Amino acid sequence: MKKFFILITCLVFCSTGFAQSILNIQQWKTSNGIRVLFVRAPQVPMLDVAVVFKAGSIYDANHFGLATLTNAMLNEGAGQLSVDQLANQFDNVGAIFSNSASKETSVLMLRTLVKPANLQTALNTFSLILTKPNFPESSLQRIKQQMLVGLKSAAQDPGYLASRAYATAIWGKHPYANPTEGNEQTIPTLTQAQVKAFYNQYYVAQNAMVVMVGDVTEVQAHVIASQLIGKLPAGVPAVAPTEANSNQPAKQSIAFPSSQNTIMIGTLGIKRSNPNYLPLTIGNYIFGGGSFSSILMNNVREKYGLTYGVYSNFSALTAPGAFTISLKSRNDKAQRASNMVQDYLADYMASGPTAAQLTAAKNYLLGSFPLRISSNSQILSVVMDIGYYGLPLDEVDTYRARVKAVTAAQIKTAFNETLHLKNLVVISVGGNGDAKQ
Amino acid sequence: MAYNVPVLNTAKEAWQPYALDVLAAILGGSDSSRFSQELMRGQQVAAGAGASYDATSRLSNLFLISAVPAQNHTVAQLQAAINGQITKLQTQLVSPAELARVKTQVIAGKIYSQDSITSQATTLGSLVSVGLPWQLADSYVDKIQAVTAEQVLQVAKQYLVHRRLTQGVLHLLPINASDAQQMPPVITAPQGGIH
Repeated sequence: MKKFFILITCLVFCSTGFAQSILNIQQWKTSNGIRVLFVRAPQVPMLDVAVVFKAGSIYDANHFGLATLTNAMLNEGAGQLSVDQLANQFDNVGAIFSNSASKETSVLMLRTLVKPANLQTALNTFSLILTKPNFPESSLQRIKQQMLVGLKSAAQDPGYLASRAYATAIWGKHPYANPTEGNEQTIPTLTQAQVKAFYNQYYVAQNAMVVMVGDVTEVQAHVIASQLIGKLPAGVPAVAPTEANSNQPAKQSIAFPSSQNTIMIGTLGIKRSNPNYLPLTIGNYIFGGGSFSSILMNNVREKYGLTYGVYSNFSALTAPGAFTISLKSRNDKAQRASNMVQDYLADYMASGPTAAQLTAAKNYLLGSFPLRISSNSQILSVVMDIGYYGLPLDEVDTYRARVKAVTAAQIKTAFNETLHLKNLVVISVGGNGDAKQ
Repeated sequence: MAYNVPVLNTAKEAWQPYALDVLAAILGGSDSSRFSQELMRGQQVAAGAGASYDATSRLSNLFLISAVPAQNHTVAQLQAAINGQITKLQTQLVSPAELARVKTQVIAGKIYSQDSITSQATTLGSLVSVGLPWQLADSYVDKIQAVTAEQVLQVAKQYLVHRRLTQGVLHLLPINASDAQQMPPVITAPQGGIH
């Protein structure tokens, strides 16, 4: 609670006089070259640590699921400790460990108390997992089975089927289209040797970043970072994903026994470092990102009653990600809803936002801003973004000024430069197998 | 699997909701819980398994166990394994180390929850909204600390019993594109138990 007021105070006064940073991010490199970003947050006696490796599913080659499997295997045995012993060690001191893999990254997170005994055990255990995993064969088989069970359940989810077809349509053979969770053909073929090779290649210092937020001093943070992964070999940085310039248009309808259609519409979008990132995200908030205040929601749901919810977003990655509109609509209304969404997109690109829409969006984004960095976990994810995408360390400090400066004309221009309606991809999964647009 | 159990508002014995909280954590609260160690990793009969309980409701609530069978295992085998874990807790005291571990997790969780303004408001608000004093939030850790191994065994024995159980099974049906015009019966079939 206290933290919230500090932020508010800072937001009110920082801009008027002294230039103190809101997050005051500290940054350095460990002796083996790992970038560390740290934010001191002394309000709660805890520490969050995220270790990010460029080791996501874009590096699977054609062994889909390998990045996910490797990530999931890290805490299955490390050093002299079994998976049960590792779990006990974390839980004995109340620490929470989690791991996940995405398109680009493999992320390992630790949340721990900073009481010395708890902190030390948690960090020692975490360090073992990061630097000394041994990938036991018995665990490998079990996790592969669990991944296959997950796929079986996903196959019954029209949202999953739609997103797979959509990714393939947007990215084609680009590795962003790789199924991060693997597929039924590849998972059974993945081997311990492949997992070890993947770990050795990608879980290296040149490929890693550490982000810490919590109640330790900067001096302590330095010690913690080198203690955690200071012994990782330097290795070679992973090759950044190539940048696709455009996508092929596609329309695909997948028959599925449901009373509604799950619809995804969009095109290739932007990379995170795109100079138009802010105008596009504000413009998207107005068009379809802002839930009940968006143009899409106000019309397709509120005015015409064709859907329960409709949303749009830019997923901006190192290379261009997708711009996606998603909605569900009753089978017999789906065609109309899909057409309507496409019409609103064309209209919006032709006219841009109104002055009133832009003012409302800015008021919301500026007003809700303190709440978006009010907890350590939120700060952690903001700083992970800053570090991963190489954004300026004062990204948060300049946010308000940058939002205020965006104009309706900029938004309109940015949308037209970015989205090419002739390349629109339209995927629908639902209760009618007929071809539909 | 849902067992009807008392909550803070309805428990005759004030310690019981706290013992049920500890019981849920022992069964399925984390990577070191019994479901994770025994069912997912040991017997490998479950692809996933968890237990949850919320003592903050107006009337008696459900102690919920949910699980997904691993490949090549049936729902019946999974149920038998879950029942085996319950029986064990009804007949053998949890070890001091296991009890201490669960308590540490609960206390840590309480500290972690201070990270979020929303969760602090939710904690206080949900107590008051069901007619409980918000001060209960402050004594929560002490009440959990006071739970004994005997009390855990006692609530397991008293409440995780057949006549309090409602059970639902969701069967995955094969997806057949030719069925696309009609909805498959996605069923939750109660099997035994009295609601």
